[in-house]
Parts: sequence; C-alpha cells; structure tokens
Amino acid sequence: MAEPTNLEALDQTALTRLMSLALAGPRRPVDALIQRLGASDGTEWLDRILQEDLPERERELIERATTRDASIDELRELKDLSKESLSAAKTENDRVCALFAYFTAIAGALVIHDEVITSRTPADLEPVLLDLAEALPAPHQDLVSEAGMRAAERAGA
Amino acid sequence: MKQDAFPQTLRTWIGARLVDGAQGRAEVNRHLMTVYLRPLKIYFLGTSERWLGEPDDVVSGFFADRLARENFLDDWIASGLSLRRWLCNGFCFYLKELRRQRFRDGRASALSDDPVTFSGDPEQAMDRAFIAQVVRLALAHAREQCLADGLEDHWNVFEQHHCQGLAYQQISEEMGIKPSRAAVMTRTATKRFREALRELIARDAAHDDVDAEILSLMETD
Repeated sequence: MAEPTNLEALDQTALTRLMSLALAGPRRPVDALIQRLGASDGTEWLDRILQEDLPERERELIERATTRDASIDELRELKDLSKESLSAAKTENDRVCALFAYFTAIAGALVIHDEVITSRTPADLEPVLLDLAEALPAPHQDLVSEAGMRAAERAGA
Repeated sequence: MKQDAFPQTLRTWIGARLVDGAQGRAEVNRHLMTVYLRPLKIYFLGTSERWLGEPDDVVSGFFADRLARENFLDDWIASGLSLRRWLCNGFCFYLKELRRQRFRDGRASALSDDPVTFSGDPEQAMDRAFIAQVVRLALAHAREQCLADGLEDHWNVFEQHHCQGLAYQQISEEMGIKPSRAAVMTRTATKRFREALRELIARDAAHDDVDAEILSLMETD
C-alpha cells in the first residue's frame, strides 16, 4: 500500500487538478440513468427492465454484449434500436431503459471490438462510462468500466 | 427583517447558523478560523506591516476583534463580496488600526493613515492559499467519510491517482485489481471529495454558482 499523501506538500498542479474535480458541469443524459440506478431499488429496477421492460430484441442484444459474444453489427443494431426507443419514449422509465441499452452498445463495441460506434470523442466517453460503471452492479459494471478505460486509452489519458 | 432582503442562496450554511444563537455563531467562528487563518497569514506576510507582530498573533487578534462584532458577518452577507475578499478588506482596516495603536503607544512613526502596501499580488496569494486550504480540508473530510463507510481501498486509489499522479495500471498492479476497477473505485471517492469541496467553496462564495467560483479560483493559477 502506498504512503498516505502529505497534504502540506501538494503542489500547484495537484491542487488545480483536485479543484477541477469539484466542477459539476452541465447535466448529461447519462445522469438520469445514473440517478435511477442509484435509487434504493436500483438493482431490482435493472433486473426488471432486463426481464420485462425493454423490447425483446434489445434484451437479447444486451445479454450478448454483457457476455461479450455480440458482433459489431449486433452492437450497432442495439445502438440504433436504443436511439429509436429513446425518440419514442413516452415515460421517464422508457427513456432511462433506452439509455441503458444505448450505453451497453457503446461499451460493448469498445471492449469487444475496440471500436467507437458513436460520434462522441473518447475523451467525452471516458467520464460518462466510468460514472455509469460506478452506479452499475456486476456484470454490467465490468463491461462499462472496461469500456471507460478503453476510452481513456484512446483519449491519451 | 433586514436579512430577508437578500437572496436565500446567500444565507445557506453561514446564514443559517447566524440566526441560531451563540452556538451557531461559535460554529461559524470555528469554520472561519479553520479555513481562513492560513490564507490571512500569507496575506499578512505580503504586506508592509509585518513589523506589527507575529502572523499568528496578528491574524488571531483580527478574528477576535471582528468576530466579536455582532454585525460583522451580517454586513458580509449584505456586501455581495466573497467571504475571503470581505475578510481581506476587514484585515486591512484592522492592520491600520493596529498601526495607529502602536503610534499612540509610541512604538511607531506617524504614518498611521497611509494605506497598507504589498509586495506582489496579495489577493492572488490569498486566493492560492485559500485553494490549498479548502482542498486540504475537503481531502481530510472525504477521507474520513470513506473510512467511516468502509471504503478505505477506494480512498487509497483516489489518493494515489489524483494526489500522487499514479496511473490506474500501476495502482491496479499493486492492489491486485483490474485497472477498470481502480477507475470505478476512484469515482466513488471522487464523489465524496467533490461534495466536500463544493460545500466549502459555497460557504465562501458571494453567489450560488459554485462552478463559476471554482473556475474563477482556477484562473488564479
């Protein structure tokens, strides 16, 4: 285990980096999903949408992404389906379901095929995926956190 | 009802305690001493008035004098200034008062009404010292919280990555975890640090836009 940081010795670079961590930034689409997952019934909610709420084809593709068996075409299909679901969403639950499918597709493409299938830059994707991963239970957390790391590598972090 | 004329956002943590009697006021005073003692000492060391005394004594004397005044913090709320700037202004007046006192005691020349002068940029030095102090306090608070919640490993990863600049790969090898897991653990600790730091900055700010205040402080560098 590393030595604890000497707080008196933090240099200006470290202080500035730490200050920047406190910036909240604008609210992102993924924050609605993170908020839902962070609710007291978040894990049960995820189980339910994976069994019932999501359209059947999206459920199948999410399962294949999570087990890392999905082809890149299947992940593109999942992304397209999730975007259609997002556009057609009538309730907040529909919206966050679609967001979960969307980010699973993005994460799967990065981890399984090392491909970015969105117009977002890896630098944009990294914090989004890592924040989402923190809110997810296993095995979804593993996939999304690894995707966050892949995005970080691509962004040159 | 004078205070109700001011936006609610200006009366959050400090404002709520000011209407909470002697106990609330004592809590505010402790907060001010914890956060601003060091920045004001740095400020004092940049002035032409260092001859007035030891930094610790002078700054402690300032707090004792001003915080005993019933309206000192109410007047800050009315001023629209950040708390650190309000304290700076009050401190300059206090230094002039000390100088006059020394003159009356026969321990100084008759320059008692000259403005306090500085070497360098004292406000920038004060802001830098403020940043260092609130970051240290937020780190200490977030660490305590993580330990209390059984998240010691999360905190260690955060500290190694963000304070010591180690890459996730290196940290994960030492801890026997995947780099992606280290990144997620850091995120958990970061949340606690972010909340602690934003709270300290909100207490100082003259408005409720904490992000704008952080960006403004970062421009100090």
